[in-house]
Amino acid sequence: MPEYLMPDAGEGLTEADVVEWHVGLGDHVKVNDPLLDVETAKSVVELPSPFEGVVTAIHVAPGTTVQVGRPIVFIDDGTEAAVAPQAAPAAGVPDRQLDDDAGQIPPELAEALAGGMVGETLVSPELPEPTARDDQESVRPLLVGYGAADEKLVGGATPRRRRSHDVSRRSAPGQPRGDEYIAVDTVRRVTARNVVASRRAKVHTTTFITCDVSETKALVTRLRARREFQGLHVTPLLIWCKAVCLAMRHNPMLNASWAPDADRIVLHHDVNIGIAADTPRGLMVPVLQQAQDRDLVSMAEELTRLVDVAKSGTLQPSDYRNGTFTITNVGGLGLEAGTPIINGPESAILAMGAIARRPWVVGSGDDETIVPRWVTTMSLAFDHRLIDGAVASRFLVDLAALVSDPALAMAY
Amino acid sequence: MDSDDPTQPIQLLTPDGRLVEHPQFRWEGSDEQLVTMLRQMRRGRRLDIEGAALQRHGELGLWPPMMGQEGYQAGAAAVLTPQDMVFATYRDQLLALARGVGLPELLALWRGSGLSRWDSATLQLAPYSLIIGSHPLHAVGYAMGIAYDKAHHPDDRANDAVSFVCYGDGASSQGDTSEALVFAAAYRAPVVFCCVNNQWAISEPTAVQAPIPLYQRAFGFGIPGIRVDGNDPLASQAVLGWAFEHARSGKGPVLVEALTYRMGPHTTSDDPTKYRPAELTEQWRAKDPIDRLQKLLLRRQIIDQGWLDVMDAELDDFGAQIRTTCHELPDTPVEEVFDNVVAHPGLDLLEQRAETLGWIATPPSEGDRA
Repeated sequence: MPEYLMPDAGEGLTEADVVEWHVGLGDHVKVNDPLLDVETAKSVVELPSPFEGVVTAIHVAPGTTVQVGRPIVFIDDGTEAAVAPQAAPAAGVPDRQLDDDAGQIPPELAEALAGGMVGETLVSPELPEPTARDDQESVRPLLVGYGAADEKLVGGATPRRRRSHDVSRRSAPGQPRGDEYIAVDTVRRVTARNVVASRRAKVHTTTFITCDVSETKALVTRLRARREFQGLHVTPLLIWCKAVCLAMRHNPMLNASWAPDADRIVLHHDVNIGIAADTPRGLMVPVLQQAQDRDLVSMAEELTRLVDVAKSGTLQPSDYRNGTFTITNVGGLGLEAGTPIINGPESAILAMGAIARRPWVVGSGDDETIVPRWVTTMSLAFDHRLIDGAVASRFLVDLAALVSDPALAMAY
Repeated sequence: MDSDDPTQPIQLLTPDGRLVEHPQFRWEGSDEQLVTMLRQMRRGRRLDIEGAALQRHGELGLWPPMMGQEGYQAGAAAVLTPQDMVFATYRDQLLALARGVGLPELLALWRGSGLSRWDSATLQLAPYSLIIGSHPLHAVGYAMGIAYDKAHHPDDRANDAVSFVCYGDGASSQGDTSEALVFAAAYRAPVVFCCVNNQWAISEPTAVQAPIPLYQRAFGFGIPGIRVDGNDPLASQAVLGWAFEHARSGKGPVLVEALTYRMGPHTTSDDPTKYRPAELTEQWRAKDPIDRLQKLLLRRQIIDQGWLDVMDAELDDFGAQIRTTCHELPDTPVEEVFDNVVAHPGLDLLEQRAETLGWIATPPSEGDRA
């Protein structure tokens, strides 16, 4: 209870910036005493204390952006074990870093604390002022074309936020903003290396097909109602994985690689389908191994596992090795189609577009009408060195036929 | 104040707490009633303060502060009889308390953990309408029903009822409100319109919406219009009492413009410093409805410092009760969304209900897009 979590001070806001604290460590506060000012996308608001007690920890410093639901202050009301007094982090420290630095007091703060400056340290002028977020959202439109804010008007020692009335409308340009360097992590480095290598080595060719997949949507709904699929990842993607395996039986060249050092093509008998996933670590491609031998339940179980570990950012190398073909679901991002880059040593990648209600012509002759149907566009990028246009087309047409009429799987 | 100037709001209690005469209206009542009125306004304000704070605590989704607007509500509460039907604005929490709405029902609405749970038929307070300007139509329809009942059962005292609707200056610009006034006048419906002119339709000042005082709009519809100091609970009671009597006795509707001022933001999502000068708000702080009645009662020694201390303690208990009630509110059962839409749900609604409950009971799986 005595931990005060950042509330949504407006309607549906997700974050707020701490402007100024009205209390310090050790202060006794009563219910509804003002604790701090925060600035949301809409306004600056004062947050009153939900508890009566002693402020024993301040988790965020002025200038910090805090996600709604994150703890901002601990008020010991005697109901829970008190936390040791903990200084606020230096101003401008991003919220995210707090986890790493939990419990550690920066040296300059420790010195200040020793000198009895408890509470005051929050606004100590020696601390670095916020830099990256100086020009806040609410003021930024005013800044455009008027140069930077007049520093003289922006509060003294307190790193207060710039408000619109602080902005002086000078016509001369202000200080250049400069550039920022962002360290590249492993996933970004590998992604960059792979896409460059793929683009350089392969002859990318992309082809498209649009089809009515209402039957697949209906199938997904029916499968979800079945006991054996309860709790599993049953989506159109699952049907697509199955359809890819079937369509490859007649078009095996889609599941092949160009052997780089020999004049040969490697035909893979395992269909290992990679699924491009936007994970907390970046773009990852977990692989559904040996999809060709799996029934739909097994496929769904493995997809569910992969989705869960990908979302939690804990994919293991064994989860993304040995892919032979990739599906990227750009439709999940709301896009109609894409021209994806072939992954790794593979030779083809399928992009699933959004499945949307669209007008569709059905019937023929006098019975011809336009009806709303679930329609999607698929695109296939393939390496023209080993896959001819006709081969790619047959594969894509077979695949479209299967997702348009999943009952065709009976014919395989 | 020039009492011959009809645009001057009728006032019986000045901001410094002195009673003044008016040729047409006077307040009649006992000292106890004055004390009740003060207690009611102070409890209303405390609820308002706690509600706004609870929103900042993250306990309520939204709160529309009413600070400064307690006067006309206390006046109306003193006039209402049990059979009258109230269509309040979502800012009229004092009226809601006066009608007997419980804290759990009131807070659940703003917490988003319950729909308008109070029993409108028993408490005679319609669910709040957040659609600006829609509920004057509801009030007129209800009033037409009263008139119909009365025509058929003239001796039933339950039909000596008035439909009372509060709506803001912003709502007065909505077409629905004009439509309501047209039908009320045409049917001589027993309805009292209380246009709560708090000067700001969110960020729009009244002046940009109306070139004439809002009460004068009544004349175009062919009904009486009158302007009262909405921060004066005594004048509000006197004027609304006259208006209710007019409507109750079958003479048709009345439009009362209660001139007041919203001291706080439109809602907890609003920042009034962006559109109105602080000096203006300070001018209105001096016209506070609670201060003026408290000054009167202190000067007349009807209450003393001891009474105020007891009141403060009572309000602190009330504040704690509000917070505890809010913290202990249960989540909404999803059925409630369906159960309170219509009295007799049709097949499609029952199907939606079954489908939704079934969907919730089904283990989660990824959406269709994954």
